[in-house]
Amino acid sequence: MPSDLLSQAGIVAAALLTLITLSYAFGDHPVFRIVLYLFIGIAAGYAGAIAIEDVILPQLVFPVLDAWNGVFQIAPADLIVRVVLSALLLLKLSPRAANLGNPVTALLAGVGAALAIGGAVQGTILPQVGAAVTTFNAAQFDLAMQGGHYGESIQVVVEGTILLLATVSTLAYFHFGATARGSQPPLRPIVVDGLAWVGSIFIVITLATLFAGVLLAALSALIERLSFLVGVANMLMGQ
Amino acid sequence: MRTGIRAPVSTAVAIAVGFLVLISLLIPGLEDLRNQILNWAILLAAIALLLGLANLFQVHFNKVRDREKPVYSSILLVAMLVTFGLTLWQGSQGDVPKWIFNNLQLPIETGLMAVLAVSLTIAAARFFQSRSDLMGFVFIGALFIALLAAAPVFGLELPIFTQVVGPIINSLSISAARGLLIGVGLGTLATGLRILLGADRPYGG
Repeated sequence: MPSDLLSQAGIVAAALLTLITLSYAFGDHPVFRIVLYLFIGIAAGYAGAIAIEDVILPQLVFPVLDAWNGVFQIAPADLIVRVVLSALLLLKLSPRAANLGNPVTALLAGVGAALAIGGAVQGTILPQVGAAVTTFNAAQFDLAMQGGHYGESIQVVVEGTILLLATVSTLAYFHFGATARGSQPPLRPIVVDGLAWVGSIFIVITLATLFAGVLLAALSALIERLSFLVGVANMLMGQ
Repeated sequence: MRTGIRAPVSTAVAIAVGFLVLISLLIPGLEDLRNQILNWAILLAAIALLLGLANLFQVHFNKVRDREKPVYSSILLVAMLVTFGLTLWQGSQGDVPKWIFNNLQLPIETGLMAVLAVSLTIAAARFFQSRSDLMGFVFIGALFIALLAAAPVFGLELPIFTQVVGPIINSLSISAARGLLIGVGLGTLATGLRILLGADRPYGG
């Protein structure tokens, strides 16, 4: 098929799929479902092929074929471990032998847990705690005090306090530790309860801001799709 | 001897490998060991993905065989096999896989994102109708301010929103998001530790 024709067919197909997908705004229908299943099929097939092309062939199949021909790209012990682990994992396909694959999934879970811990500590907790500490801009405070701008220095302290309150009260909202007093049901300490209420307001503000961000991104996508459809309509009408 | 653990080998593997990777993150000089284990994990994750695809294939193949909504499942199976075969044959940078990606996958993906705009607008309107308490007003107020501060309205920029109220709401939400992130981090830490200590065994132990 000539490449021009293929390209035009692609544009028409893309426009049709866009129209069908956008029609979901008026309600679910069988044609939209067909497009959805098509999407899942394509995405799954593409992901599988990429996994084979980028990982399984270079890390397992090619080294094994090379070893078969007497060339060792990687250490023989390493290769044996890879082959054994892969074979054990493939046993998961058989319901009767699936248990033999459990140690391999355990290895994946162990590595995942360790990386999650490392990522959470180094990538989230420490940087975010550090950023929460620096909400009090000490350099700006010193500068304002030295220059006699006491109003500005108060502003630094108030801003820092509000921002720190937002962080701490948000964390307090998720504190569910409670103690029972006599026959009364378990209650949170009154300070934590008050902080949690303040935190819920900050959380609502954050969720609203995130909602606005997602809505704006979705609106950008809608505008891009509508302009694409107008372009295709113009192309088909020969303008 | 009864250990009380149903799968001691799997549990031992998870704990040992997890601690080795964790220690290698903390102590310099163990990078080679960590990379070796990570290479194995990457290979196994790719094979696990293929197992997941095999399962998807089997489920929909059975649906077609049992005539349970066969049209949808047939389309999924054909799309999956054709894309899989062509991408393997030509490589991910081949002409046909690129055509499939640009003209079939991308329009549906972007279209779904565009539909989200309509869904979110309807959801916000329904929320405004159903919640008339303090939290509802705070949410709708913050949402309006964030939207008005993000872009000009009909080409007209409103400085009160873009320069005053918007930045205040933004910095408040960043600080609260920081609290949420720290909470998520602590939750991840606790979940990871439970797996490393053998209290949670998501691998069938």
